[in-house]
This record gives sequence, structure tokens and C-alpha cells, in this order.
Amino acid sequence: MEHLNGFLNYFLSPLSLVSMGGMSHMLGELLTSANLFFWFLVLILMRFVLPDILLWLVSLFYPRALFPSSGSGLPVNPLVSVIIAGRNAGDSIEKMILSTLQCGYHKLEIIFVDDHSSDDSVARARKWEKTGRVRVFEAKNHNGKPGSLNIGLVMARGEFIFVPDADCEMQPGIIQHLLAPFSDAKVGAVTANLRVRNAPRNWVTRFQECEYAMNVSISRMWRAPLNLLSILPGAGSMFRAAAMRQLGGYDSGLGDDTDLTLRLRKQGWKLRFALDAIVWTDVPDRYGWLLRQRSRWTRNMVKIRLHKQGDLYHFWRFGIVNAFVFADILLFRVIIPFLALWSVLYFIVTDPFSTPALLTVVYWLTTFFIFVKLLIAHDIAATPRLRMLWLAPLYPFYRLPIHMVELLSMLREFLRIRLWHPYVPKRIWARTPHW
Amino acid sequence: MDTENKYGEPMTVLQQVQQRGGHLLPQWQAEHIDGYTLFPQSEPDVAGQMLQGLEYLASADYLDKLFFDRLSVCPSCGSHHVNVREACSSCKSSHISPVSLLHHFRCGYVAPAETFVHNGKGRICPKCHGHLTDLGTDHDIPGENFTCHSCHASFQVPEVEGLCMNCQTRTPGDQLLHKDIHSFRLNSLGMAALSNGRLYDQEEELLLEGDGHPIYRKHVFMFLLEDEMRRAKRYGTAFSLIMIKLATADDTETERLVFHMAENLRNSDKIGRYTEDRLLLLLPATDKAGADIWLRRFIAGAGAALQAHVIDLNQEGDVASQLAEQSWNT
Repeated sequence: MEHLNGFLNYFLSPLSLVSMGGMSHMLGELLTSANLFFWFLVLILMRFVLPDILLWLVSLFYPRALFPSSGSGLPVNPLVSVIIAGRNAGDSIEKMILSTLQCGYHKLEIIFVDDHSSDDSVARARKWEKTGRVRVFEAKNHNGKPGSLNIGLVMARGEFIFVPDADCEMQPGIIQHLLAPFSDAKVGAVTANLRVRNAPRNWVTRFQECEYAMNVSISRMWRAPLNLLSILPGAGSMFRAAAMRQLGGYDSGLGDDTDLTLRLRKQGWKLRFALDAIVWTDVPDRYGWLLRQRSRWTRNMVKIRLHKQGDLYHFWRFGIVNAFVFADILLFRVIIPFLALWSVLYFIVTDPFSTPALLTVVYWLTTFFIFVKLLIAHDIAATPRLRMLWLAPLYPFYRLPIHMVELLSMLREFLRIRLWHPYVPKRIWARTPHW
Repeated sequence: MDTENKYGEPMTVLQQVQQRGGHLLPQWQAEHIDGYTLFPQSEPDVAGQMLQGLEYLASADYLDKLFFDRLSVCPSCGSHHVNVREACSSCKSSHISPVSLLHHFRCGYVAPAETFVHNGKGRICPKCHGHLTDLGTDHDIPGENFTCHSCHASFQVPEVEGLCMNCQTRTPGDQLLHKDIHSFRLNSLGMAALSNGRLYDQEEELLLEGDGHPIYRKHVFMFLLEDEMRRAKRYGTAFSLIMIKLATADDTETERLVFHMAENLRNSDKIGRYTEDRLLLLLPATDKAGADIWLRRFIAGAGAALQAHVIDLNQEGDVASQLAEQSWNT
């Protein structure tokens, strides 16, 4: 019990007035020094917190900048094709189709492409063909998601293509909110606001609700106007059909949504975010599944953003903004995570007695800024619920194993170990370039 | 021959069948509302009366009513002049055509096959300009599709609809009515009636005498069977039904078999004619085990090549259809 009390005193010591007074003195010294590690921390914190704070200030004093009114460049009620690619989605496809039919926009067609399911997905979806607005394509072989979406693209007649996942649900009004930014003829795609449907299930899903609020809702809100969006998720994005067809649809392989996003950027299309266009999706409710998902996402990030579309930094070809996007990805998704790990190991080796104190301070700083980000997200985007704020002190512990898995996944991709993933059918993997 | 009989017209009809070789086949007649007619030379009202006679004779087991053809007819006017066609699932136009899609594995591109231009060595992908040479290896056909030339919709399964050329009514394919056309064939009872010059009246239910065990005509036997089923359901008694397939339809052989059967039957057991070569045996107050024992003894002593089995009847289901299903087992 004495040891526990001792640890708690040590752990909470940075929050004491004496420590805070000492810290402000130390802060003053550091600001006038050339301490690289200090400025390194400042850079990271500024990158992850400052944009949110600025966004909140803009929403406070100039909200019109965040919610521009739609222009006159959009035809009235254009036909929208909703393409849903799914495999063994029998349990969710009917709910998805129904929510789409009930979303409040009538001039749409729904195309469900079944990727050679072994369950009754096709039978369940075909029941809806009688509405005259749903068409089902049953593929004879397993083609993977990109191939299935491309089949839907061939069948689509709409001027705009909306691509959700087969297990999502659409909020009423979503189509109208997604269409609004297309009044700018240079906008090639708009991403919806992904929200976590199964958030109350357990602590894993609650953390992800917070994560999505910060990294999806708020992050995309400030990135979109600056044309810095680097991913349009396959779970809910709308595209200008002409833009998609100009690119030949999706490419085979993993990371199809990231790849299409970057190809659109290279073509000069603007990408936007619609905060009020809400798509509800289920997230992994087991930590092991979550780690597998993040591993796959990280591998996709390396494959697509660094390898396949690694020429995005060619500012003489693709512009300075795209070069900045590439630099942002390289710095904050690859270099800094590895540097952070290296720093911790370095300090453990060189100054083992100060490292716990340093990590404790970093922990409390991180917790404070998480708290701030969550408050901002709740104020602007109404997510997460305020009762989730108690998760802020635990959030670094939730993220730590994910960071480790992401680092390992990146290493695996850099060393090109076992590049294939079961998402890609082997007969197609054999014929595609292995990024 | 005694030409008087209380059915009058049926005997004439029976003679007509005999004169037409014993099997009255429908003949195709496009202008007829049914598409077929059994009496092409007759006036419609006369043909209608004769058809009624045929139906009566078939129900009374003098004729075998055999399936000939099935027509789709308009539910509105009953005409068989229905143009059944595939239509667009979106706008219902029949101006549709199939489209074969190709999927190029390397770049994921999917498009109608004609967009992949052939250069003699293989097709060229319009997206990545790669070559498609081996179906299944570098590309495949994800599936057939249809395209509508009216509204440009693409779909995999076209709708089927019927357009009546008589009254212009459009009917979804699954709502078209179906009408079965039958032929009528003279059977042994019909031949016997012709030989006697009269139909057998209600009191004469017997086909032939067999040492106290008559063979009942089919429709009479079915009535007795249904009566037994009702009794079993009400009082919880058991009964068994055996189907016997004869090696030949020869009456002499049948008679010999019935005499042999009679030696092993009680006076409450009943024999009925199911088809020309199948007999049914109803054993009241006998469970399946008892029926199996009886059957084994009968087959051992029959001295003839015959097949037989106990029919498993569900008291809640339709008897005729159950018998039809299980008759193929013999």
C-alpha cells in the first residue's frame, strides 16, 4: 500500500501547484533555449492541437466560413447512384438499402454488387428490386472490393456516385448535404462524417467514438477548406461520376479509397467534407480486431501514400499543396512516431532516472490536450457525448498498443514482409503490382 | 348393343375417342382462344359439350386424362396470345440487350467487352493499356449484364412480363395464369363400357369379381380411403395402404393375383385399381408392422415378378398427391 501511495504521489506530482510553478519557470527557460527535444515536442503538440483550437475560434467568431451556403453550380436534384459492394453482408444489407431509400432524396438508384457471397446476401437484396430503384449484380467470382465497385460504376447512371459500406446506415438528409459542395465545379469528391453506431457497446468502442470525433469529424473540418484531405473513406464518400470515370475507377489491391483520393488530388480535383452528412458505422468491439484493423490501415498508408503515390511530393507536377500533404504524411505518420520511440529508448538508456518524470509530464500534457480536443469536438460536431470525457486520462494507454502495432506494421511494409492481405483475392494479387 | 344409357352424350364421346384411335390428342389452332382444340371440325358449342363429356368420362375413370401442354394465358381476357418478353427492370421497356463485362485484374478496370479493343494478340485495356490474353488468369467475366436502350439502366436480371396481343394488358410474368391442356385416352374400363354398349351406373362399382374380393374403381377406392382416414383420425385407429405394381397389365394375370390375394385378406380389406398396372390395397385396423408382414408373405407366395411397398400417408396432406409422389418408388 505504501508503494502504491508512493507511485500515486509521484504520478500526480506534476499537477501540484509547486510543480506547476516549477514548470512555468522551466518553460520560460526552454523557450529561450535551443533545446531540440523541447521544440520537437512543441511541433508535435502544435500540429495535433493548434488546428483544432483555431477551428474552434473560427466557429466562434466566423461560423459562415465553416458552413458555406451552396452555390448555383449544381443542377436541381441530379441523379445519384449509390454503389454498395459487399461480401457476406446478408445480416446488414437490407438495413442499409432501407436506410438509403428512406434518406429523403428520391432521385437515386441503388446498385448492390455482391462479391461472390456464400450467404443469402443476394436473395435479401433482390427482394428490393421490386421498388424499381434497386439493382443487384451477383458476381460469379470473388473480385475484391475495388473490382466490385468498378462493376457498380459501369452500371451507374448518376451524375454523382455515393459509395458507402454494406454494413453502414445513412442519416436522413445525407445526400443533400453531400451534394452541396459540388456546386463548385472543381470539387471532385466529398466525404461524409463517419460516426460510431455501436459506441455504447464497451470501452473499446467508446474510445473509438472519441477517436473518430477528433480524427474524422474535427480533423477533416479544418483540412477540407485548406484542401489538405488525404483520404476519402470507402465507408461514405460521394464522387463526381465524371471524375471517377476519368481515372478508370478504383485500382486493384489494398487501400483503394486512399489511392483514389490521391489520384483525384493529382488530377487537380478539390476534396471537401460535409459535417452534417452522417454515416453510421460499426467499429471493432474487441481490442484484438481493432489492432488488426489499424495494422491493415497502416500497411495501406505505406503501400499507397509512400510507395504507389509517393510522387505526390513532385510539386512541379502536382502543386505545392500536394507536396505539403505528402510532407505532412511522411513527417507525422512515419518519421515522428519512429523518432518518438527512439527518443524514449534514448532517454531510458542515457538518463534512466529522469525518464519516468519526463514521461509523466508528457502524459499529463497529452491528457490535457486530449481533453481540450474532445471538448472542441463536442462543441462543434456534437460528438462525443460529454460523459465520454472521463476517458481522456486513459486515452494515451488506449493508443499506446495501437502505436506499437502501427510501427511494427510500417516496418513490415518497409522490409516487404508478407505483403499479401486476405482482402485481395490471390488470383488478382498475382496480377497486380505489389506496392 | 344397348345404346340407351342415362349419360347419353358420354357414350357418343366415348365412341368418338375410339374412332380417333383410342387417344384424343389436342390439335394446334392459333385462332382458338385456348390455342388447342380437340374437335377442330366441330362448332364451338358442340366442341364445348363434347369437352364436358370428356371431363366427365375422365372423372369416372372411363378415360385417362393425360397432360399434353401448358399455356400462359392473360388473366384479363384468358387469351393464349401472350407475348412473353424480357423487359427493363427500371422503365419496363423491352428494348434491352445483353452486355458482357470484362474485369482486368492488373488495374481493376471493368467495362463492356467491346471497349477492350482486340489487336490480334489479345485485348487492350483502355485504362492501363495492358494486354488481356488469358481468360481467368489476367482477366475474367464477372457476369452477364443487360442494358436498356431507353433509359440506359444496367441490370443483371431482366423482368419478365407478358403482353396480351388480344387485349393489350401487361402482366408480370409471375402473375400470368397457366392453363394445362390435356389429351384423353381410352382405358380398359372405357373399352369395357363400349363393349357392353353402356356406362356402368352408380350401383355397379366393380371392375371385376374376384372370389369375394372385388377390385374397386379408382374414384370409388379413393372415396373409401378418405373415409378410412377420417375414421382413423377421429378414433385413433390404425390402417395401412399397400401399392402393388403388376409386371403386366394383363387382366388374366391381375385376376390370378387377386385370387391369391383374397386367400390372405379379411373381408374388411379392400382392393382398388390405381392405374393400369398398379393396385392399391387398404388394410383397416392394421399398423405398418402388420402390413410389412402381410406384404412379405404375399410376395413370397405370389410366384410372380411384382413390386410392392407400404405407402406412408400423412393424414393432414392431400392423399392424391401423396400417392402420386410415392407411386414412383415402386
